[in-house]
Amino acid sequence: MTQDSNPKKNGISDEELQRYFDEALPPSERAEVEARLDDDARLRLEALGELRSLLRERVAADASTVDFSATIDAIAKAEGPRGATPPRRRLLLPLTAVGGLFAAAMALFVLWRPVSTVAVSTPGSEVQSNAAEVETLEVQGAVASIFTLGDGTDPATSATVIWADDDDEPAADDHDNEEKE
Amino acid sequence: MIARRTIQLFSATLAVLASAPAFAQGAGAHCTVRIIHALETGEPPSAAAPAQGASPAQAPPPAEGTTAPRTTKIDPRIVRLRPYLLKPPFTSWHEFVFLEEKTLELVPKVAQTFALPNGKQASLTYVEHLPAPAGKHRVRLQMQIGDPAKPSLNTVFVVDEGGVVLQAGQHYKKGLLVLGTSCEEAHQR
Repeated sequence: MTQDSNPKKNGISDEELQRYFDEALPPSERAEVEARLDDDARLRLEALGELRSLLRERVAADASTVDFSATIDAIAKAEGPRGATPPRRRLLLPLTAVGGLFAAAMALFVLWRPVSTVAVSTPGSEVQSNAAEVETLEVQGAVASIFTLGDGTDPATSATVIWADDDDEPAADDHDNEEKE
Repeated sequence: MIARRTIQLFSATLAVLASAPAFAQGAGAHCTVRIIHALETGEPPSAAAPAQGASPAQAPPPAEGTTAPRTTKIDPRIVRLRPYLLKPPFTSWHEFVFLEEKTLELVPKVAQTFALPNGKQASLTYVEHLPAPAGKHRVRLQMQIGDPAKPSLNTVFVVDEGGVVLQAGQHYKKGLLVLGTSCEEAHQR
């Protein structure tokens, strides 16, 4: 019996020859196959080479006329939700936002809290006493005083008095009204 | 499930934070300004008025035995402020007449003006609501008297809800004006 119909021709099977053609053999086997190459094997290699070239040319020609945009869009749409944000990151985003808002709220609280110190600005006037209730006091050319009075019944009940003598003389109509009375 | 709960928490937090400024500022304030005329009624002005530059609170009362005891007439319509008018330095005045009561419905950050009996303009501004310990509420107010462009008095004060701030010193008919201001949060009326 001859080996012609055997896929292993001249000691080189079709699979070995294909792997040799694809450069998929390790160096030792590649050298062994190369040593056993005969004319028939070389013709088969040439045929494989021509077939590869034909396929490449055909694929290149077809690819230039095919519109892949719809396919790309479909792939992007299919992978969009999974590729956009990992689930853990989606969970962290709201938490980060809540944390940021909480920090902002705390900052606003610190900035807006009541000021316990008293700032009194009285150009051209004299301030003789103060009370925590009054935060700012500006008077023009007058004597200003701030003090607290209790009502004499409940020590917790007191009134803050802002006393500012205005330098203006009573209006003329005040005198007129008084004379009429 | 966790993501949904987180979004719900986020939404609730947003709602709370969005409502915080409105709560801090309050819906408005209902304020009353009672205007009282303090008269010397025969007392020499030099003895009745506090010395220029001296604190009215420090004005010495008349020495015992040197001045006849005087009775103080207080308008019966004056109830709330009566106890304060019986204390120095108001003891230098011996008649208090209730002139009028201004009722002001204030909205935040908007000045409301009113005329004083001496012809001057005054304004009261509800600046903001302040939470206070023990569940009390406080309001920050700004009062101006005189020309708005250059007020003779411009003050910002914080007062307990229902508390009283007195402003005195405006001349009027050989006496002076006493303004008693008190406010309450509008939503609690």
